[in-house]
Amino acid sequence: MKSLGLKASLISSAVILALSGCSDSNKDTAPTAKDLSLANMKQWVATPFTLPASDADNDDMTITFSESGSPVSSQNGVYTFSHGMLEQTGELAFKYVPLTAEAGSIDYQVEANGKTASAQISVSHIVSDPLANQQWHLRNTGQKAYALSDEMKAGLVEYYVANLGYTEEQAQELMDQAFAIEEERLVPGEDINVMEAYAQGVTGEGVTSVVVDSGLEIRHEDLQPNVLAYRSLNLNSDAVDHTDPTNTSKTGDHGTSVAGLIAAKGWNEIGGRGVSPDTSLIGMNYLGGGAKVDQTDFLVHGFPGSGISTDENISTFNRSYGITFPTAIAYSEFDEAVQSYPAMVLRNGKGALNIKSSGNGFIDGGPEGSLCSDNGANALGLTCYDGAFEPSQAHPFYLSVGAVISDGSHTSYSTAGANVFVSAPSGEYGRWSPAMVTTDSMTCLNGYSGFFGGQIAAWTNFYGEAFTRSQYPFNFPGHEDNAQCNYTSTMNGTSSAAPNTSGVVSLILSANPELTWRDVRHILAETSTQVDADNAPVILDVNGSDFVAHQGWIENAAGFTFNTQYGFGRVNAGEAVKMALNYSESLGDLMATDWIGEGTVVGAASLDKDIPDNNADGVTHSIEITDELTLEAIQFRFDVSNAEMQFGDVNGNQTTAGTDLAIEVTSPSGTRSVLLASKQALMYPAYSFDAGFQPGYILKDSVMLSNAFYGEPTVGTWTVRLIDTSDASFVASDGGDNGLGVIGFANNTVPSKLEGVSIRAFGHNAQ
Amino acid sequence: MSLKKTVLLSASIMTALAVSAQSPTPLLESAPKKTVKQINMAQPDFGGYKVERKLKYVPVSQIGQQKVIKKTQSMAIVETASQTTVTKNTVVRNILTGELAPLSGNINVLLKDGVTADQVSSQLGLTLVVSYPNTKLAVFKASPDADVIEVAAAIKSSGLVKSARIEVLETIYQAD
Repeated sequence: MKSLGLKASLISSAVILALSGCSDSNKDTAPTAKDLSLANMKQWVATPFTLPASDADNDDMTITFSESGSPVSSQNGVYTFSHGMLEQTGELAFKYVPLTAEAGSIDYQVEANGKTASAQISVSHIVSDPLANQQWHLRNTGQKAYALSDEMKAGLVEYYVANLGYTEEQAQELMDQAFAIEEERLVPGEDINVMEAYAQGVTGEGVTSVVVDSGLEIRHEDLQPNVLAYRSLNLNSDAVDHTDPTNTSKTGDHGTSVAGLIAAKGWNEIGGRGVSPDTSLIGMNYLGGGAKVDQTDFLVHGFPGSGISTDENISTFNRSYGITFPTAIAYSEFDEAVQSYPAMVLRNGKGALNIKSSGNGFIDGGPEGSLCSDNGANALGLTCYDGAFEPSQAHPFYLSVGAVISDGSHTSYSTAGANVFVSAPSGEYGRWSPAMVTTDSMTCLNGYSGFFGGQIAAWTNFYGEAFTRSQYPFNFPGHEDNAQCNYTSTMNGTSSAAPNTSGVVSLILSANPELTWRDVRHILAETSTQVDADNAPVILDVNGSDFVAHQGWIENAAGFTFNTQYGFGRVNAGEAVKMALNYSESLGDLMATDWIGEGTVVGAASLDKDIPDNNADGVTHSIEITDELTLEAIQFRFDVSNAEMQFGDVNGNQTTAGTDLAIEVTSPSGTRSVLLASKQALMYPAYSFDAGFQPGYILKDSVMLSNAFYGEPTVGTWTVRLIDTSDASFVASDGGDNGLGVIGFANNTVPSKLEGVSIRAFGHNAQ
Repeated sequence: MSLKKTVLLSASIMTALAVSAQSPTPLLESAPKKTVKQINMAQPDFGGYKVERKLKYVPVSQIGQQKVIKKTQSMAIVETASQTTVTKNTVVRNILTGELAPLSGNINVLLKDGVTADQVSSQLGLTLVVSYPNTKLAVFKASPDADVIEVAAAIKSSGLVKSARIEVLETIYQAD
């Protein structure tokens, strides 16, 4: 049970009020207790009150609480009832937090000098949002969020009996076992702790989040109250109304679901609740939809012309999108200049944050086919795609977010990498495991829920109406909690983790608008929750020597814990808001070193260093930094070539040079960060937005960001080690059904070469 | 949203009853087989784009007998006689995604330190669309009959800019 911010010293099963030590039992009068009515409260928001109890003799009073005749004792000063929580904040001062929308009552008894009085606190008229109790990411009670439903189990039993030759008993036993395994992952308390933020009076007012996505239904019943009128942008060049980014796709609008996670209006008795329920919203339909208007890439970063002024309180640009392609895309100074604008210019220079989904490529992504199954990445638990592939995740001006499930552990799909800063809930697919309950395009004629939702339509076509309804009861038209199909229970992906983080950032900046974007990053790094504490390392045997490809959690020299799957951990709204309200750090100006290094990346001759095949020693290169900064982020730039890195060879194989490449960095303080674990889907030659593919290169002007060294000093020797981790060749089990059409992967016959490496550090003056 | 969610089911779902490594209880879990797109390795004409010289982006009202490749409410990509000059509304193909998109005729520029957008404009005879305050970013428009690729090359070789990028009216990103 979480504390609502009260002192933990109040640990007793009764409240003893020492109002006076003086009494005379012969003349003593009984204490008094009056009934109290608490009404018109918001669910999860604390209401302070004074208990109407007194003793005329000023005797010590002991107060006990009960519900329906059963005594309720406190834990850490918190009394938990079926409908809410009670905390003491003073002698007779309490806070009540409604946990449900149900009315209820609390009986209390006052005892003073052997005499007692009793009365009742009645609780009624709780303003709520009917779906909030299923939003496990906000408050995880172990609820199923419409996954693992009774209908689902019954439908599966029926299906197995009818189609797979099971007896009913066999099918029931199989499903009971399967459901029991999944239900173990419904863990109360594994959430982002919004209640503690709300208890501090912070619900997101005063800031605006910009949803850069596939659209935003500005008239959605649960979004419209937060949508800033006429401020959204339809970026399609042939749009009739450029202020309306509503996506009219029948099959669902990603952006509408993303927006609901940030700021579905709270406490309006409609739908669910955003993380930051009073934050304003602007939508921009950046994704899909054909030709865009001129300067779209500038507009989605809040440049002049977007309607966003430099003094507006924009908290975040939510970016639940990315590029999933099995190549390392080159860094671009032009893109950095565009993408850094919200942080460097907006909010009068205090900056807005770009919150970026890390990607859904942990298992696979597409064009690489079966590579990550065939090379062992999937079985080992190494990421197939790495955040380092995508250059927008290689600078500190975008904040990458990974995704976790309802027990706090890593999702099946969340792309890992040293660039990941934090993680947030998103869940799995909403059937065997909870996903997100959020807004969906309105009516049953549009959206993920409804007749035409991609999953619903396809499953109905394949399995028929009854089975589909049983498997997706909430999204199938007719569910009593979703009669108009305005909500979905299957939203997931790092696309959901990013807006949940945008919501937390909005709460932080609502709590303290004076914070800079770097302060917000600092707060997130300080307050995020270390989940999956036992996350195990992955150790590869490289020709008889160990290489730690995934380290699990590490603690750096500045005391920050970091993991490439989770960043600094799962965002914690309550702790973040608490730190924001009491913020005392002074990070000063943002400083950046020049690019420091050698070889082709700094315009010099190639280093021409071989990376020996299947050799754990690899090749090392050291770089000295003399500028004294306290690190906030650090970038590493590489050129790594291999002549065989083409588009497949004459035998129909692709080289393993890309997938075998691992890179680690060790800081002057001794902290180790893995930039590439190996076994990743570096299948194509390096790519550049400015020059296309770069045959012969695994990495060309590739920049990788590591957050693992946050808070450490820059000065000293940084050691980079590049390793080729395998000499194996293997068949592509997809039979050539991959982007290159290759039927196998042949071990590189020539060693890859390190041609250049450089580093650039961001931070503030060391104090 | 995870791509898996949106991919249509294929016949393979019926065989998804077998245990998958991705989920301890994958019974009937959606695990559709992906259709993998082969990538065109053709060398790009600029950046990551191949110019489709026989395609043009035109208003729907101007469509005549040409074959329509793609159409939206008011605009269409249609076949046309081969164009020698790359201008606004020339259609290009992204070699990474395979998608078609038109050019705006604009060139987005990151200026070198100490260089102003007006300098570039006057020195190269380009129309300045906008110079963004507090940045070194500017947008220039090529004249209607100028070849945008040649203009971009001239800008790059001027020594005034760090980067010059031909604007393609597309989004390369996809929802996560």
